[in-house]
Amino acid sequence: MDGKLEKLLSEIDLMPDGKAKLLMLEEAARIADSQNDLKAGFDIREEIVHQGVFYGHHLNAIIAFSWRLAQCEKNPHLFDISDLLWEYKWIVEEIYKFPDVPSEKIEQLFEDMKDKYNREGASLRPYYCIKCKYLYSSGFKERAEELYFKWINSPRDGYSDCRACDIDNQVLYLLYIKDYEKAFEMAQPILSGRLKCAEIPHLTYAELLLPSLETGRLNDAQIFHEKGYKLIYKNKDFLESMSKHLLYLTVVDVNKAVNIFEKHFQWAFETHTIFFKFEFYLASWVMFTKLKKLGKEQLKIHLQKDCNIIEKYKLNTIDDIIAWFEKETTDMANKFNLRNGNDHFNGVIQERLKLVGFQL
Amino acid sequence: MVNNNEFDLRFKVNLQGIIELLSNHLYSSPKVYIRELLQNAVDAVTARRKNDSGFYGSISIELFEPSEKNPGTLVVEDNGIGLTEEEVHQFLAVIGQSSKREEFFQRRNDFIGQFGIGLLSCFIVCDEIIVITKSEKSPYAVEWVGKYDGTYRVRKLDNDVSVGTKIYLRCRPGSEEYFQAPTLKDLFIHYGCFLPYPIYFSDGKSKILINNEKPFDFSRDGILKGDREAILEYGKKVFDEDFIDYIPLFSKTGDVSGIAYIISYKMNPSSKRRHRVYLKNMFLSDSVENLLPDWAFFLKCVVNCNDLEPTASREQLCDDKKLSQVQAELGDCIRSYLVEKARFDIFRLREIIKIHTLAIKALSLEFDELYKLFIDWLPFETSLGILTFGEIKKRTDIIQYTPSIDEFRQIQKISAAKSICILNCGYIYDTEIIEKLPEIFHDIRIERISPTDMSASFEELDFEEREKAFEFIKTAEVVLQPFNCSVQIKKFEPTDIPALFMIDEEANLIRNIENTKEVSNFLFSSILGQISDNISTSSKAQLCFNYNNPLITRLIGTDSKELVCMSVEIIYIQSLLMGHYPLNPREMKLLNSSLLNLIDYKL
Repeated sequence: MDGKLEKLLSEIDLMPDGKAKLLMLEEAARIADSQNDLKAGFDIREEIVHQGVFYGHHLNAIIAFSWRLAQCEKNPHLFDISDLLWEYKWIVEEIYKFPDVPSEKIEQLFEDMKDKYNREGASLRPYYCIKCKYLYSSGFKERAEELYFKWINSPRDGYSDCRACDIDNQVLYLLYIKDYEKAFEMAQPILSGRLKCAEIPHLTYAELLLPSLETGRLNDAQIFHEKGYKLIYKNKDFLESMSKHLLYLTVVDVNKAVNIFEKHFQWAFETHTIFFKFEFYLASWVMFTKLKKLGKEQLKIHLQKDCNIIEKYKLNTIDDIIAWFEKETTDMANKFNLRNGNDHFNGVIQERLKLVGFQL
Repeated sequence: MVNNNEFDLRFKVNLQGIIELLSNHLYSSPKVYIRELLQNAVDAVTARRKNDSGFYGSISIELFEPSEKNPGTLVVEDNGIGLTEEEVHQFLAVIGQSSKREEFFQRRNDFIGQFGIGLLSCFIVCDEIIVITKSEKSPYAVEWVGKYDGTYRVRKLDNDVSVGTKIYLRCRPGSEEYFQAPTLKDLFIHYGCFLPYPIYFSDGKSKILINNEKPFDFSRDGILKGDREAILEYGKKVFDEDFIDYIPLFSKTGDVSGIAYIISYKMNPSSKRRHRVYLKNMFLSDSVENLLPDWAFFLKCVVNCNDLEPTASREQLCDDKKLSQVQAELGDCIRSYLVEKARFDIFRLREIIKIHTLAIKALSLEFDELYKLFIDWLPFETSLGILTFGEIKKRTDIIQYTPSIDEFRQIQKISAAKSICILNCGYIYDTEIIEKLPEIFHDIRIERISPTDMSASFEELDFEEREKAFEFIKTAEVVLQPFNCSVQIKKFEPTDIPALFMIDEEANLIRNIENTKEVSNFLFSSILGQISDNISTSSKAQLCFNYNNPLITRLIGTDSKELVCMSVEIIYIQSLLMGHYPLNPREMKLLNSSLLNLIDYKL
């Protein structure tokens, strides 16, 4: 050992979270691997998983986790599988957002997760919760409902999400089944600031934007937008939430929506997580359709060089832009539909497109 | 038993349980009872001065140290407003009822205390509290005796007592350490040295005024006119370390004033902030975290605030709107200090930048005004060594940079050989800082460089040379095809490099997936495979041979296809190792077999 790894790690130690740190950690993992330092590789990848999950580099997290899990299984005397249970739930939640992973693999993954939780004597609460999320976001309403009750009736333990996240997840489910009143009530402890964590109320504000519009809570919606945007605009892990802010602004102030689009399109363009890309592209499609409806044919859209689709694909008119987003979005929707064996994502698209004609 | 009456029943609260809960969970240390005692006394005097502004208030503390015969007693006396019998019942025996107390003290803002726990925190160190008090409004004095078991008695006193309050605490066996004169004296000084009324401490042998000489003058004038050395000395005394310089802090919101000290070593941006805060001149905490903006992690400060809310434990400040406003105002103070240094004291600024590079970079990103001032002094790692941006600007018209250290390392050698200045923006904030340049300075052009861009700028072979190298390249392509690596041949400096392995972020991700797939279990390996199949494979790793390298020239000249195969394999592996790319099992196998084959061939 030549101390190179130690030096790099102490440098990393000083870095704030985010992409630069992730890239440095990957460099450190490569050095650890080439020095055959399993222990260091294992620990460094724990941080990669963390950075990846919380700062929007989900694929890097999945890769690092696969490696960690493999080492755990190969070297049970060196590493303890219970260290991976926390990460496991995050990883499963990331994986089903890739439509290329077929349903049977996802089922196997859930079975493996359940098995590992059972073997550690952990409550299955996180398992039910994430599986419920997977099911309803794939359009399997009945099975999701069944798991929802199992989820909320399972005990909490050391592997459960924090209270704030747990409540937020329940709010999400209630919004999915369109029980808006109950959802708002459920969200109260979060909205009042009593429950919070690193991701809450950030996510909650975004989730409640459109339901607030639909139920006529216009003032609340504006507050959620203003507070929520400030919390998320620096971290691309909140891409899905950003899509919701984009839709909200499309309805209430489309000029501001264009601003948000210009600022954050790069996140969507770069992400490998297809589900998030789909959400943002769909929101963009809705926004451009609304712009066209308002007669704004001549638009100047400024995008960063790396993601300038307008230049790259010569999208000269607003119709070209709409057509591009329509194609990209429906391609992704088709992939999800194909995997899920239903047409759930078509419904999602139709519902969002209705926002074009939403009257305040 | 069933309650058949229609009356509501009251909860019974176990006082011992509550005290234990508070002392173990709310307060960070049992010492806080000192603060509560001082606070009651100061509030009482302040209340009396409301009605009579010329009144001379004072507080005296007397300690009888524990001995074999005597358990030790602490007596705290003030000549403040005192309590009537009714008030004694209200204030001393009710927990958590702050509103009544507020009414009593009329305007809450003038007082330190707010929560109804106050005096009862003394039960942390004693079993019995005796209070003798006489109110201005009452013709007689009252004695209140509270016990740890949750009972209390009150009786009228006949003898003549002057207006004020006297509190007796008898040391609980086991708490003797909190009744030792040196400890107590230090604690009273610690909490009370800035308090406005004279506080005397006596231990039977000597009597001192604990706030005789304030260690520091927190007023605006005191800070602005203060002697530099004395202010730095004070910081050293408080934090036990030397500082580079200090920044005066004032905020109208919250009525805050104090000093921020610039730390003399590199700080971790995510480290805990530890600021010392006094609230209305009473010590609040040594570890307030939320006083300064996030980016100010290179500072430690001491401040007094007169108009901010403490949390229930009275050891942090409430994170409310007002505090955010205070953060912003204090942030302005720090910024104007830095601006001033940039204009008039560049030497000091460079010293600060040298140590707190990260903080200064973070700040520059946050504020355009500072960005313009600092940018020329900010250091970057480049292919020509560490240079400040001012120096970089002189060397190159277009600012070229790589966003990761991995990419930087790949092209560092070649760009150095050509004396091209490339910035390594793999470190935190660097990419953001460079990408902001054109936004701030319209005449500066920037360019993100990837290793593949770099190879595109290499000199191409002419027709004849290409003809010569044709067979070699064809063989190399076949050899490296299974490793997802494409092949090129060009001319570049330095000539001692036979080949360059280049991989950009996307291709690196794919390589990472491939390598991980090989070690992962079946389920994850197939999941990774499915995900990676759908990532566009347009970006591949690339091995670019150097036509100018003598070894390559000879290999091109050789007739032995076998030798070319083995050499390409070894060059490939070697360039992976040079770039710190761990070998996957297939590459490891390749390394072994090609080395053996080479030996075999030579024999």
